[in-house]
Amino acid sequence: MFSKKTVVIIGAFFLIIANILILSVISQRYPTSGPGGFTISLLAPFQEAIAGSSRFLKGIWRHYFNLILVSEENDQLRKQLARADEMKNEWVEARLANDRLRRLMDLGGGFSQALVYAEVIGRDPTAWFKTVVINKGHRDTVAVGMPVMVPEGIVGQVVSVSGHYAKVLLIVDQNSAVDALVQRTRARGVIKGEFADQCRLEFVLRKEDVQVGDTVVSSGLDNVFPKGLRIGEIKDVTSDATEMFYTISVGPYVDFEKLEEVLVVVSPKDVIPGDDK
Amino acid sequence: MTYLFHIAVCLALVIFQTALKPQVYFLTGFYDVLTAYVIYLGLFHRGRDIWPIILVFGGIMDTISGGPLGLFLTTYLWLYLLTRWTTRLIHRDNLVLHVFIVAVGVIIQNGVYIGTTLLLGKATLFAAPTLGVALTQIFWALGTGGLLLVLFRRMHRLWERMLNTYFVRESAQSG
Repeated sequence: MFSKKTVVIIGAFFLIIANILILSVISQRYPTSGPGGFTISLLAPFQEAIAGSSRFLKGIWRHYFNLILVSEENDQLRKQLARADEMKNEWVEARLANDRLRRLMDLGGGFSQALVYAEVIGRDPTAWFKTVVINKGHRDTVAVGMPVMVPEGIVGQVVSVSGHYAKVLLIVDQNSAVDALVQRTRARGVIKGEFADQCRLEFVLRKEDVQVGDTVVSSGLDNVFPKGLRIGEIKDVTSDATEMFYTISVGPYVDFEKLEEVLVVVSPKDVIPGDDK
Repeated sequence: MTYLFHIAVCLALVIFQTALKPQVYFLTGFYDVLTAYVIYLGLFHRGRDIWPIILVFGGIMDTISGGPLGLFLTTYLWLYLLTRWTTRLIHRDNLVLHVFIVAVGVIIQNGVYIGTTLLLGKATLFAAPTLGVALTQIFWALGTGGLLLVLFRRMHRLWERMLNTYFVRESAQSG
């Protein structure tokens, strides 16, 4: 009745319709169990593992780049910190220099003599002798024999001068001698340099009252150092019955290791204000 | 030109000793580096032209130091003479000699200083700090003396090589 060709066309038509109907019915449901659920349960752990690994690798990659960036940033921050430290150090140095200069100016204000400010630029090449080189010479009115001091006390005496520089013999040098008085009792002696930045007070008669802790000042009688400049504190007094004089050890007030700026007294023959005894 | 080299080294060492060394706290006990240089001259430069250099070295040090005038000059002259005499007995390239000769030089130098100060009537020199300073200097010399000798020798060789290169180039250009 129908040709073979017509049967195939009609069959195909119904098959397409049936397929559409099945698809339209199935696509309206979300199976959570059964074969679909089983498949998901089977594949999900692998998917999870792969996804996790992928995330992990991506994380490593990203962190690696982040680390590089952080490292570069760290380097920059370190440089900035170093610059900041340097600036801070400069600031601290400036503040300390300012304090020292202020104290020197305060000292200078109490003086009627002309004072020349100088910086220490060099020290003695050996440990056996105690001299410093300052950056002021005869062009700055500095001359041989002028006393040198700091707010803490006497530093020494100018022993050699050139145009812009001068050499100062420190009072702790063994060649140095300063006529001195014990401030409390006015006992007189001579301060001489000793090794290891110490001094000794010589020629103080045993009849004099001298005690540990007494302050020693310049007497002014040597015509070099103004009267009343502080020199040091008596650290030890030894009395020997066979000797005419005490053996007295004096610790200078000036820290010679940290000497940076000094004042040269240009006209020394004067009395320090306040030393009225 | 050799004079120029020696004077430049001398000035550099003096600047090191007077300006740099006091700033570095662990170098405060260091010995006089010019002593090592004088010994180097005695070991490796034996000509008569070295005498003026020794005189200049001593003069410079006497000028800037607080010691009695002529002290460094005397010390350097004696050290130079003794070093030259030593090389008659021991070969100048002897390693043991290099290690110990600067220390011996420092001992001699300190001996001269202490002797001079004693002659001037300073009775407190043999106190503990004096001994400490002397010993520190000797240990420094034992540790670094040989190295300094090698350094000075290499510097001088480098200088001579540079000079030779320069003069060869100059003569080639003029020729």
